[in-house]
Amino acid sequence: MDYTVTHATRFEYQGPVSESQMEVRLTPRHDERQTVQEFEITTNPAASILGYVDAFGNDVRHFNIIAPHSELVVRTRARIRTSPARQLPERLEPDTWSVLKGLRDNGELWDFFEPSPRVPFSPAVRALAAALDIEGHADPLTCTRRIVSAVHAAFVYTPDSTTVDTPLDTVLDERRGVCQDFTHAALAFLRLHGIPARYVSGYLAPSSESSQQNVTSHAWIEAWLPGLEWVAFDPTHDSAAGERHISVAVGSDYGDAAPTRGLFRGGPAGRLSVFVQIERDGAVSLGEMHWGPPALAENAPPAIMQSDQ
Amino acid sequence: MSDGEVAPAIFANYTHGRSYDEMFEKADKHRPHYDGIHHRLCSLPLEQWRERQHAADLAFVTHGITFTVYGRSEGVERIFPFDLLPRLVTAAEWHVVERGLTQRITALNHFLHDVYHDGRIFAAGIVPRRLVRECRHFRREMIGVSVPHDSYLTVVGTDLVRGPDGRFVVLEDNLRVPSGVSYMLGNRQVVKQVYPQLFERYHVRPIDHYPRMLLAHLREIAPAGCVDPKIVLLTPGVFNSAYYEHTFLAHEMAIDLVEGRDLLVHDNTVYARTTAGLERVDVIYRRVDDDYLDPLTFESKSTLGVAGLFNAYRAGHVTIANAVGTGVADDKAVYAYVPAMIRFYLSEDPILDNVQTYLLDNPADRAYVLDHLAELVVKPVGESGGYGMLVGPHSTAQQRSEMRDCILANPRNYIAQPTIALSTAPCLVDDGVEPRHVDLRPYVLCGRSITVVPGGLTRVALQRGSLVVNSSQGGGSKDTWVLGA
Amino acid sequence: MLSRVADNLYWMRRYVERADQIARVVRVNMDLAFDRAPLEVVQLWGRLLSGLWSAPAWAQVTRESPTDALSDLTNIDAVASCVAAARENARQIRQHITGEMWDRLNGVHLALNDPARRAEWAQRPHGFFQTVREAAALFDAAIADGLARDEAWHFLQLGQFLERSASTARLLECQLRAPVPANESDRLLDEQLEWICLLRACDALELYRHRHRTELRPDHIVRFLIADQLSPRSIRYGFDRITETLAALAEAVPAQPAIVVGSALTDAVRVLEARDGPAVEAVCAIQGECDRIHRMLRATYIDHQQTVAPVANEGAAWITR
Repeated sequence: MDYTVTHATRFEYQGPVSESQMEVRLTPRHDERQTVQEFEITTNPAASILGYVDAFGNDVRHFNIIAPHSELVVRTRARIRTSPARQLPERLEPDTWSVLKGLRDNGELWDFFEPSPRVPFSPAVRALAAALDIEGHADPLTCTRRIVSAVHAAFVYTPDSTTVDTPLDTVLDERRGVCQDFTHAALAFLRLHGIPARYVSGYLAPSSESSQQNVTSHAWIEAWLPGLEWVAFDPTHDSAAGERHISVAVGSDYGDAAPTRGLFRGGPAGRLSVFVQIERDGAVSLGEMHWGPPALAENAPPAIMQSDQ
Repeated sequence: MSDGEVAPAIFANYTHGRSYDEMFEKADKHRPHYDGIHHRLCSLPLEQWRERQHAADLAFVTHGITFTVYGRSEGVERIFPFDLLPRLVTAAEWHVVERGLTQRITALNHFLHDVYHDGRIFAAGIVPRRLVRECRHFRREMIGVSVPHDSYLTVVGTDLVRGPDGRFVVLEDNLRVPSGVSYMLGNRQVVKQVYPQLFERYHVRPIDHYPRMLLAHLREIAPAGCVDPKIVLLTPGVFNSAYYEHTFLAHEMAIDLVEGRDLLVHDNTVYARTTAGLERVDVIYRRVDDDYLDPLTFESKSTLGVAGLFNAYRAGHVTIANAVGTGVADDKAVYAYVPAMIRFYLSEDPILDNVQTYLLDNPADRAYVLDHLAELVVKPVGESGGYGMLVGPHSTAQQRSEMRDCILANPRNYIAQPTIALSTAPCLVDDGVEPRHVDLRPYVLCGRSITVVPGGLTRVALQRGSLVVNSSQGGGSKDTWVLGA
Repeated sequence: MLSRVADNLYWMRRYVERADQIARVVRVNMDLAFDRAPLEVVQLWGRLLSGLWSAPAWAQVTRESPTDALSDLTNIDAVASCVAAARENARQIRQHITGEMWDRLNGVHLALNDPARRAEWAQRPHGFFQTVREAAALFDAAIADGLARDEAWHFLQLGQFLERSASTARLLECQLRAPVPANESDRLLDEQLEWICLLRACDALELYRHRHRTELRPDHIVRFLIADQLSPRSIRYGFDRITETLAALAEAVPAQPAIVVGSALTDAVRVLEARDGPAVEAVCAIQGECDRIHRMLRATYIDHQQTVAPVANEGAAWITR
């Protein structure tokens, strides 16, 4: 399926700020399942946009703005072609567990076997994993499917119930969250079962039936399985990822794959708003989302006692 | 003095144990190269020595070589305790140390490059990849990043000890932000005033040009194409206990001492904010840990760093010394593999040995160690300053039990080594001269080439019988004299 | 040099000057209090106080018992907070100041925060004034003799003379704005005494007498404080030093545009000479000029924004809601 994605992020500051540094992970991935025909990024105020490829293979763009500004908008536009959902076998051989164990012992895929800042192996996580009674003896693919389903069943999708910083333990306690939380929970259980899995951030294009669906940034998981390599599942929807899933960035958790991250100097934090538009076959859907305190850290200079009278 | 003569009173309390003693071969027989020192000790009354020690202490304060504690309301300056008697190393002994350290650091540089690039040593099964990935100081951001001349290490402080057989062995490497150089230089300054003649007679190899040498090495690693690189020293600021050293080195090298807030990254180039405007910075000698270097890439709450610095570094527009991510090679568990690294990268046998090390992540090692806690020294792998360690022979049952629990909870975090009888050196105490345990921290500078600074900091465990030499825990230091041939 | 270092040097010096100034005003008032009815003193006190920069503890200065001025710790606090600020700046730049400069600052800081000393000063206030005055004088001497006349020294000079000039102008303004009662008999204080207090607050009484003998004429005093070229406590003297230093700084840092002193002072002198209108406006203009130079200093050498031309993005179409 061919899509055109427009993504705009606006930071509105309460007062002028200066010296902002920003990194964005907004370039859709270009791999076997998805190709990018075109990608464009602009900023306002204007800046030199530089880039690099990070350790997870994400195409990172970054820029800085020195002069004072009260608002910063980053806008991207991409044309992507996605592939239909992948044909997966019904199951794998049970001895694939030992392949995974071998990889783990050898330190391979280390970021995806181990806990990460937003995916801890806390007592709450372990307790819920035990309570969900996921059968770990089947093969890793079946186990993965079961975990994805179990997460879908165990949590209630509740928009605006959490923020980017809500700890996983809180989500487990309240049993509700948004796609980021479903994904982190699934990652925790997958990793506890010895299945390497990574966080994927991207977009879920609306289905043809519903053109009024809210389009937002979306998150799901990819598990690495012997013979299949990375396979994508969506815990929020209890499904395998298909051609509506447009992947953008991957990492051990949200922290590695956040669409934008940055800092600025001076002034209190303001408001972040995100606008995503995905066009397909002429149908246009609009989505708008307002998040509270932005995913920015204020980087004020340390206090030096001074007074201007 | 010859055999059979009665020892002078000054050595009355000089006990001889199983440690190698720097000065005495055996009771009443000192080593030939200590003739001059021995003669002085015998010929001057103890009160004069005390006076000189006192004068030396005063000299430290006057020169401002202090360990400053800046509380909110006071500015208390303390000196790092210093013993007046120099510790001698013969030219022949030093030659081995020099070659051994050069070899070791060359191998460590290769290892660092390998860890962040091809991982050949993992593929060859020599070092477990998992061990390295688990290091707190591993920085995935460094994967694939190039550093000038593949030189990850610029300033290294490797701790050596001399065992009962008189040979130097390596206790640990310090590859991140090693400090203590200002004490080394301060000790030398003071001691030269106390023994000007003896100093000359011994042809002690100079170290005063350390700052110039460091500057030269920093220049060597400037980004390619830089004609007259601007070099700065990045300090965490006045609250850091080594702040004095930062100001001293910056001054001696005639470079700007900057804090994170003095720097700015614009379009992947680092600038210093000066009265003349923004000045491009090419090399940063940083005394700030990796975690705090760049709030955009690392610890976002850090106010000590510079947002965007790592991106500029990755792009090759600024050099950071020591490189980011070197901590992966001074992890105490990785230390155990350094001899293997020397063989793998250089196809040579190590010139300087490691101390035998048990890796507690290894079941067999762990079982042995838990059975022998009272005999061993157990250390956490990522710490420095002697914190969190257990010195078996000096521990209580309670302490051993606590350590057992720590080990079982997180075995990867600990290593154990036999207690080494560190060599002892003569120190001036109230009643005369007594032996105290010492180690040696030579400093090695690397750029395109490697320079081992002759001597280094001899750290002393000031309490009788104590084996803990770290400055932060009641240690002191001596000047180290490497004798000319 | 690093902008932050220049900033710290500048503020360190301003704060020391300010502390000295506040202590001097407190002293003037103390001396007055012994001989005056409380109400008179309170009024004069209020006028002089309002002539100073607001210091953190200022709002709490009590007026009921001026003779107990120093047992009211807020006066010491006002000075102490300036010294603390100076010291804080100094601490950040230890390597750029001499050991003696640091010792002076640190020493007076410790003294001002020592409960035993404070108790002593409550009984014997002159010890407090002496401590502060000596510390400031010795700090100055340490600078004068210990520092090379380089960029750092220029920032110290500017800190000192901007603070001093602005402070003198402000004190003068307050005096000039004091309401003149319709009848002489309604005066609370001898007019002469008011002017003496002003001169003492500016540490200029002896200098004035040296130039003008014992005759105290307000118009002479105003002209003296504004325009006397030779006396180190006049605004003119301060501006001459500022002008010199700005020129030296421009030479030391050719990359930045030179800051030029405006005409506020010369205008004031002209107004005085022509007796052309009230001096108050002229004195306010002088303060404005001090403020302008201060802001220019910051904009040029400290807070300058990078003037790299922004990159134009092509075809940027902005999202509107």
